[in-house]
Amino acid sequence: MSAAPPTAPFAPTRWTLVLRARGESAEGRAALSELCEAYYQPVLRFLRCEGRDEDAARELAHDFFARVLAGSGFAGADPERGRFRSYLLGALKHFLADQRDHAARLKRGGGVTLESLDAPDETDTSAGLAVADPGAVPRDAAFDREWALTVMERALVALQKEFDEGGKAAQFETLKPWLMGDTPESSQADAARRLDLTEGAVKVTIHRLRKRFREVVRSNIAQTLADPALVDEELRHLVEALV
Amino acid sequence: MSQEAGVMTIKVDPNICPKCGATIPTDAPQGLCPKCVLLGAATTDDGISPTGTAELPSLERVAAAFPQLEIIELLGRGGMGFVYKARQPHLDRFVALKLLPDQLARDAHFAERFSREARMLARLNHPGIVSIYDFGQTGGFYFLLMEYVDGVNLRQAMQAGKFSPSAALGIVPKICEALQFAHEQGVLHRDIKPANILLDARGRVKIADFGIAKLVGDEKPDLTLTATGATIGTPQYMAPEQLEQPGTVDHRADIYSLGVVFYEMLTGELPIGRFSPPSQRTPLDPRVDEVVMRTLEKEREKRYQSAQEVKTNVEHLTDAQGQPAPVRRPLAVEDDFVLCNPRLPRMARAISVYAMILCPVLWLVGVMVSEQQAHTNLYADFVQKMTDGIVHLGEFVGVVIFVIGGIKLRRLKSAGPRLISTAVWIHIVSVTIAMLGSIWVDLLNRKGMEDAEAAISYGEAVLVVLALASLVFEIWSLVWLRRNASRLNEIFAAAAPATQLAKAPTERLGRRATVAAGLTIASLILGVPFLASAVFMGAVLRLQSPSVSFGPPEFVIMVSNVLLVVALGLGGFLPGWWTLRDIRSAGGRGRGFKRALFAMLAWPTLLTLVAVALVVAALLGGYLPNGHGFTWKLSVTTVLTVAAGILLVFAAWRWGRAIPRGQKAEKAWIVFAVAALLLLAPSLPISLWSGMMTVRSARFAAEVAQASLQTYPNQPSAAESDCAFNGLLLVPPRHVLLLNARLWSNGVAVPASGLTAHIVAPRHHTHRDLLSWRILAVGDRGNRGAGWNLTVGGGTNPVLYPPAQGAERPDWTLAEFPGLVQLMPGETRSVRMLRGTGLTRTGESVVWEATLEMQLIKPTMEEESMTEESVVAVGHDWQPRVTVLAGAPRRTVTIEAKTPPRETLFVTGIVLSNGVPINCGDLRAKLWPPSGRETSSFAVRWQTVEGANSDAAPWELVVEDVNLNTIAARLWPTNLPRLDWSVTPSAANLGKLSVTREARTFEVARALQRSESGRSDAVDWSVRIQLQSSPLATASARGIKADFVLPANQVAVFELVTRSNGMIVPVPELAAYHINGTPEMYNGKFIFADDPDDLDSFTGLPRWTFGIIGPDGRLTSQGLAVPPVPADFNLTMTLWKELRPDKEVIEGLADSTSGSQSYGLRIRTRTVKLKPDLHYSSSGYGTNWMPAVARHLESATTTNDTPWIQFTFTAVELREVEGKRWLAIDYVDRVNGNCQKAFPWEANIPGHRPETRASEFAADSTDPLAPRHQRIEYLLPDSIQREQLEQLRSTVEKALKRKTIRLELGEQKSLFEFGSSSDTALKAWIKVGPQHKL
Repeated sequence: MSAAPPTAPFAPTRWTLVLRARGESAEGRAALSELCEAYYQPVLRFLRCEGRDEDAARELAHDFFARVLAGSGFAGADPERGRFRSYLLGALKHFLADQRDHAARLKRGGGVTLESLDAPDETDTSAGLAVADPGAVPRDAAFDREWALTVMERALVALQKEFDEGGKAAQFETLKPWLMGDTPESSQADAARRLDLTEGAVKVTIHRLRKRFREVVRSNIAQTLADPALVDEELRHLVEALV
Repeated sequence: MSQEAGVMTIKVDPNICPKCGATIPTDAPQGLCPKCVLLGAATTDDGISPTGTAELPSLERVAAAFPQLEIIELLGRGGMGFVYKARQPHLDRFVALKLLPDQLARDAHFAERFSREARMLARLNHPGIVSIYDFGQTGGFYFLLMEYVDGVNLRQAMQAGKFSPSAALGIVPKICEALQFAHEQGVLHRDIKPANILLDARGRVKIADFGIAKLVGDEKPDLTLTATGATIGTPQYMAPEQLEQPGTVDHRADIYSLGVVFYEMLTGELPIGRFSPPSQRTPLDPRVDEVVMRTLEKEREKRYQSAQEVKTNVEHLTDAQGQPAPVRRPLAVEDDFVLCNPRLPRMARAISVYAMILCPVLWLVGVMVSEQQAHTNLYADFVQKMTDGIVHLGEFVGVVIFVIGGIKLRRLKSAGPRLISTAVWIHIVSVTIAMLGSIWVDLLNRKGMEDAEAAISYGEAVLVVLALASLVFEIWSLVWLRRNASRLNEIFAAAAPATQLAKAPTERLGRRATVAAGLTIASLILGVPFLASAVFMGAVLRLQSPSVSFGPPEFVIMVSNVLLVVALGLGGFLPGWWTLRDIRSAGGRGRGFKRALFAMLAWPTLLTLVAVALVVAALLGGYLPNGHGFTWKLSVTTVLTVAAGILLVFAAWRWGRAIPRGQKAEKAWIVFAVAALLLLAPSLPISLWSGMMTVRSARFAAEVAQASLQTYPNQPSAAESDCAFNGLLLVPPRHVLLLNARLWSNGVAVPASGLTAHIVAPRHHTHRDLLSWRILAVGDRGNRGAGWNLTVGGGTNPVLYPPAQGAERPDWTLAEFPGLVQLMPGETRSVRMLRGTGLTRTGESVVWEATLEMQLIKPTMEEESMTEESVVAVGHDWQPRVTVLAGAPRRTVTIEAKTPPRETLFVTGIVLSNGVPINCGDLRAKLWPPSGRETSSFAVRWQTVEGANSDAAPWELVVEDVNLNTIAARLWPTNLPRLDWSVTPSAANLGKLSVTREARTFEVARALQRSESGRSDAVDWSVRIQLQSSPLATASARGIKADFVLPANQVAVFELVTRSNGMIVPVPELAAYHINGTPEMYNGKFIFADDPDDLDSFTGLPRWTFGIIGPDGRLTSQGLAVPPVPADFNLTMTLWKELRPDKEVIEGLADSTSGSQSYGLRIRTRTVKLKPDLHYSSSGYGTNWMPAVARHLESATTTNDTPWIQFTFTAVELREVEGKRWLAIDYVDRVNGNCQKAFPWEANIPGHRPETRASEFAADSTDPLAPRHQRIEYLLPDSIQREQLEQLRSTVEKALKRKTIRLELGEQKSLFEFGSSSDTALKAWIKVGPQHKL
């Protein structure tokens, strides 16, 4: 296996910290809040996919994370699961089920459907989601997909930041399409001209870019896993989730 | 150039990923294709996935690597790489391309080893081994190009269905052969498992992946078990030494693996741990165990030492199966029969099939079709019930014994023939009882019904024939069984051991078969009555009693019953089939074969036979009413059901015949059975529906579609029953019963009209009604001199009278009624109701009869147009009543036409097509003026017709008599295409017009129709109405025209009469009268003429003009009729007659010999004495002139009623005209019939008699008895002062206004008094006296 593990094999990942502390130590708590912050987006999107409007989803996501961070959901967390992603999805479903039970209690006006008095505004992109779409992605798959997108986005942002700091923002901008894979040679030549580099230098840069990206992605993923050896598997899972 | 290209690739579409071509989602970070980016992160640059699992190379990549092949699809993937199906175009053959896992390519030594091994494998050329065509390395792939086997592997085959032992025994030797060959070549397979054994479409066995395990797995051959190697083999199939010491593996490891496969094929399980021998898990020859266990020996020394050895042993087993081996084989091949035991002689087989199947089915059909007859008396009913009870019980017991006997016979049990004989005897006895009983019942029923025919329906006839046929067969079989008893006993004795052996173990199957059979029996027991009650009884109930509705609840019950039955039936059928299959695969061993067979075949056979029975019934009985006969639904259902049944039986037969021949028969059976079930599936709902309809119709035809007349169950009273017959009429739904009473004199029909009535039964239920026939004595209420009358429906319904028979009226008595008269549709039946004797004028005795003729008509109209209500009405003209005119006329043109007095209006409709008149039936009406003096007015209305009738005629012409407010004629076109008619604009404004003798034509409607060729020349249709008046025409070629002179105070009655047997019988209503109450003679004309052109618009019959024509030439009576004069009536008579008072003359009536009829005119005159000073003259239609003249008769004043006159004062007025002052009093007076309208007023003013004048200023009617508005005026003396005048007015007003005064004849009453002084006093009184006349 030529690809070296990007993180030190025995350095604890954030998720290991969380698990180890069972959400109680300050360190674990910090790690958890970092993770939650990082993966806020998939949760929000997931909630949106369930047919809520933007505000309701955001509100619910806040509640959810508040609860996760308070550690109250941790009693039921299964350390064997080893994946933050799975844990978060499980906790979210659990939370939603609780929420539904809670809302359905007659004491709190159960059985009454709440309707918005406002007309849907321009920013609300969820207008179409109010109606169940038979072709919609199943919710777990949707969650995983959002997760994969978040992973990718975070890695790209980190990479961009690195290049920016190194004063090579233009390089990143021009060469980032090659992250998708090989594109025709002519465009590489084109990129070389644009960046005022030789074609060979561009090739090397692209190679480095890819390698670095790979490392960043893998290290990001590793942070959400209890066992870093599972990185490949998780990565494959996320690729599949994107289909 | 390159720049441009680069720009282009990026800018073609930023939303499309340049790498994978997918659309980049909008939420993709940085606008990059997320999949490709993450995939890039997951893949290192050299294209090898670090994930450890082999990545599936894309089809494109493979195709690129193998340009000489057409890659078709991925066949499979596994530890050994990927297998694609590909095609070699130049050889035009399919090949299998195996790509070895990528990581192998990274092994430096692999290339060398690969080519070495592959070369050796390519040498393995054997029909049982998948050949290798080519191998090598290209495009980064190591590949093997192999023979493509079109089929399945053993794993898939085993998943599809369990292998029968014989199939397994057939496959193993072939595997052994191939293994032996490879072992001889020094090649070990190392991975024998079901997935590597391929079965091609032609049943050949090929072993795949020879040596691949070694090639792939043995990365480092010198090392013992590597981690990689362990994962690549298939441990379950590996020999113990292969797991423990892979290095020392030899060919015996393959034999062990073969043993595992063998075991799995036989039992469906893997030999893991302490496994039992296969024969304990599945019915099997125990010698097979021996072979299997020896291949599975843990120590390879104890195993078979070569594949050849295994093959020989297995083949030996297979060969030995046909022999009488020591193996327990309870049933020989021939014992695996389906219905008949082949050891039995043919006749015995037939008997057993009959007893098991045909007999119960016939019985069931009989039970379903049997129907309750209507009996005329209780005794017959009782006899019928008792017979039925005995026969049904007997037959049920007989059928049960039959079935048991048949089964026993089939199983070669000696009890079979005895049981069958017993059942036959029972059957014969019960049939005899049934026949005797029915004869008895029939005799009882027919008592007094000589002319009633035996009504046997087709269905019954079929049943009788079937029953007789089966009886003949039974007797024959009885004889046969007796004669062949010894022969049968021999067979039974010979079969005894075999049947003993049949009780072999494998209890599991036996239990399952029992459950299946139990379910089937339960479904039969529950299902047959359910089906019967749901389908048949539901329909019957609905028919017999309309109050039982067949609504949703009943439907739900029916459907759920049917579903339950079907579920139970399937519950029996499926496990039966399953068990049978297992028994078969056990080589015929296993208990419960018969139970399973019964369970499997009972329902399909029953369904088939029921369907056949239905078809036969439907085919034979063309009697199904309403065109429900042989509908497509019925045909489709029956064809499908019969086909399904035949397929099922055929499949079962074929399958049962082919025990050891392996899979083929199994497959065929499944194919046939599935096909049969598929056929059956659509037919089930249809058959339920149409079966219901059929049976409903059949019941309808056999039983209810008969009209009947029977003695009413509750006769009113003994006294009345002597002179009245009360009958219960039953009319089946959708039928019309015409009733026609007829009068006979010495057997010759006497023409009598008005004795026709009809009953239109509603669409959905039987109409029941009362028919009362009464003999009337002189003075009875309602006796019009007829002697009897007839009421249909009682109460307010019509009463029919025969013509008055006058003084020669016969002495009627009731004839003996047969008790029950039934008639089928289309049938006419006559019942004698009354008998009587009378005398002719010459004193001869004549026998009279009155009969009731009943005719049941099935209208040939759409069912939808039948009403939901019963209609009972007089006359035979039922047609218009049953037609429902739905919807209102959509478009209308009305012309009000006025004709001059005494002129006939002709209305003609003309239809033109492109300006050319076409014949659209008779659209002409001739309308007689209703009265001679006034202008008559008719409304001629053209209107479109919608609804049920619109297909027959798109529009109609209706002519209404405006004064009488009746419809005078209705005309409609025939043969007119369906067009969209619209009213022409000019027609909308026609309004009123007067019609002249010159024809006037108006276009009322138009329509456009595209010609059929679709060209532009459309057809322009138009409707015109032509109106014309013409003077009254009475001249006729046929008829009577009589000029007569009638003396004063005479009434002449002109009657058309017939003579029958010397007895004169008037044709009722064909009569006219004239009353001459004037002092002069009356010169008139009597006419009875037909106008050949003048057809009645309703009936299309010629119309007769009948009546008296006065001196002014007008027809005075309503002399238009369509009398029921025979068509051959041909009387042309012109006579001049001076009539004498109180005489009777008959003209034109020849004295006839007995049996012939002749027509003539009888004129009778009567004297009337009218009241003094009354001149009265009138003519009328009919003979009933009395009401017309009664008021004017002198004798009428002598009635008990006191004559009176009544005044009602309405207004008082003082007025001054030309200097004279008048007091005017308005009043209305009424008189009763006996009082002359006497002028009453007198006023007295002393010394001065005032002048009075009276005026009648508003007559409401010409009737002298009707109230009249009158005015009387007093001339007041000048001496009255003005203020006195006002006083006078108020006095009078006070005294009279709104007062009513009634005075009797001769009475006098003071009205008012005014003033006391002599010069102003005014006194008024009224006096009523007969002498006064206004």
